[in-house]
Amino acid sequence: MFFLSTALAARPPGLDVDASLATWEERAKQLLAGPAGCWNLTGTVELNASGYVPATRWTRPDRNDHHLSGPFTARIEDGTWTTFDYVLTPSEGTDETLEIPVWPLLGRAAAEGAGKTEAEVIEGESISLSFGSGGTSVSSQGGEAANTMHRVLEAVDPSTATAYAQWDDKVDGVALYQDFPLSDGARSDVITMKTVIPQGGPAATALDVTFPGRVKVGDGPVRATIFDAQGHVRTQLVTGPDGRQTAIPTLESLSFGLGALGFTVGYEQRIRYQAATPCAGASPGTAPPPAPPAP
Amino acid sequence: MTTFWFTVASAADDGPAPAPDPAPIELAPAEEELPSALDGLDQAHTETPTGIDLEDVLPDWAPDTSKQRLRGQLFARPVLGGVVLPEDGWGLRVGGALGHRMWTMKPGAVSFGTEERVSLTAPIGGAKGYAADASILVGPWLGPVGLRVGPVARLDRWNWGDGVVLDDALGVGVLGDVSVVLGKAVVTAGVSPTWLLTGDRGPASDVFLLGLGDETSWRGGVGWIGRPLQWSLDLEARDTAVGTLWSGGLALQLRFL
Repeated sequence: MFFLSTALAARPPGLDVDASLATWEERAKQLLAGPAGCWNLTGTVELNASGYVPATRWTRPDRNDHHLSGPFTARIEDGTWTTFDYVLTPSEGTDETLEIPVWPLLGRAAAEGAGKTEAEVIEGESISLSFGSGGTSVSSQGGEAANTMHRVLEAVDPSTATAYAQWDDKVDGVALYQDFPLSDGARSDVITMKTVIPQGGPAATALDVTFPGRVKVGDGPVRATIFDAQGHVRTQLVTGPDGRQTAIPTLESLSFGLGALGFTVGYEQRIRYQAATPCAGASPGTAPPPAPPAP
Repeated sequence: MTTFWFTVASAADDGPAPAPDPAPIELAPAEEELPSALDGLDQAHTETPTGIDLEDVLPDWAPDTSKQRLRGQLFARPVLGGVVLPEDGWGLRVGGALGHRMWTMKPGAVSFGTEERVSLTAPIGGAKGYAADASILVGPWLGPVGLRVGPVARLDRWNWGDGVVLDDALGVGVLGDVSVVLGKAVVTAGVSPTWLLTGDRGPASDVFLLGLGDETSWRGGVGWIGRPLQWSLDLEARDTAVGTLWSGGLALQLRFL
């Protein structure tokens, strides 16, 4: 009884979780939009690619693991990435060339606001990694950092999404669940997005996106299976120069697997944000301030 | 007075002192271990482990492979090869191959694999004929060395004109192959003696290295394990009733990792 009382005491009195669904959805939207204001961010990027290579007549089956990591510096202005530069060093024994893009999960690429078509945005977002004996050098200026979550969620029809919210003692806050169906069918698989709003307060701080465990792609002789695709974001509330609080990402992870032609490949991108600095001389952010806490 | 104005002018030129750069805010590291698709990689790789959903094909006979680390793959690919005739002349043949491979996934120096394959080819240009080949090969990989052995069967007929004719015949025999991986390079060699069971064709009239059957094929090849393309080039000498036929072929395969 003591523990139950303690848990219930953490819930703000008068908080009506069900009646404030639109508020929670707005919090989730704000989190996806990225931090308000202009921030210079630093941290590390880790890329892990692992996979099974099928046997051939002359070569044995194999499993290969590639691991790269290194620091990054980035700038995000009102949720728009303007730079995302990083240098990755392959783990010992890796001396081959891979081209892997990096996709920050929150915010948008700068090109999306520059009147470009989607194809131009996608093309512009590719980032080349060139592995060599001296390490990896990468430069992605001018909004080449891609956005992932917006594109994925906008690709499905948000009007058909369903949502519900509940108080969750484990996270000491409101957990919002939004399901986005992948097709029009009544039994369509769904993408589930869970957003955590601590104490039902002014900002969401955690996001978990889970795709269906297995998604078949292609109808022809070459079919692929995408498995266990998922994205996770953890943030920290930070007070900006304008005195407003905004959620700065601290850790995010994007991963998925792909099975095709006898190959089974898994990819994981992990970005750890270590420091956030308000842009020098930047005007306060222009994003609308967070709505007041729900009653 | 002069000093006063100088001081004012200097201040006006420099402008207001620049604001200090904002101090960075250290972000607390998230201690949570986030899940990843890599956690389920092994499980995903063992699904439909043989490449054929045996329970759909033979529901009463399908072996339980759920605990065996087996993986299989169906394959279908085009075949393009060239043939150099014993006398002057050459020809091209095209066709396709269909097959299935299976291999063990257990980590370690030794693994095991099988390949069942059928192919059908025909000449293009002025020549006429056909060839149907079937083989079942099994064997281990011992570190970088792969060994394959198994029965083969060939039904073929070729007429390249100018009296160069291989009559209909069905031959059966064995095939032994060895491959050695040296870094990214692969070197292969093999021999396949066959004995003619039916048909009007006689045994080989010429011997390239050593006559082991009615017809003997010697094969050698090289390959490169590239990414995204893995290729191999092989050359075969086949002793036949019309002399030794030399043929070559190129195989390409995608490799993602």
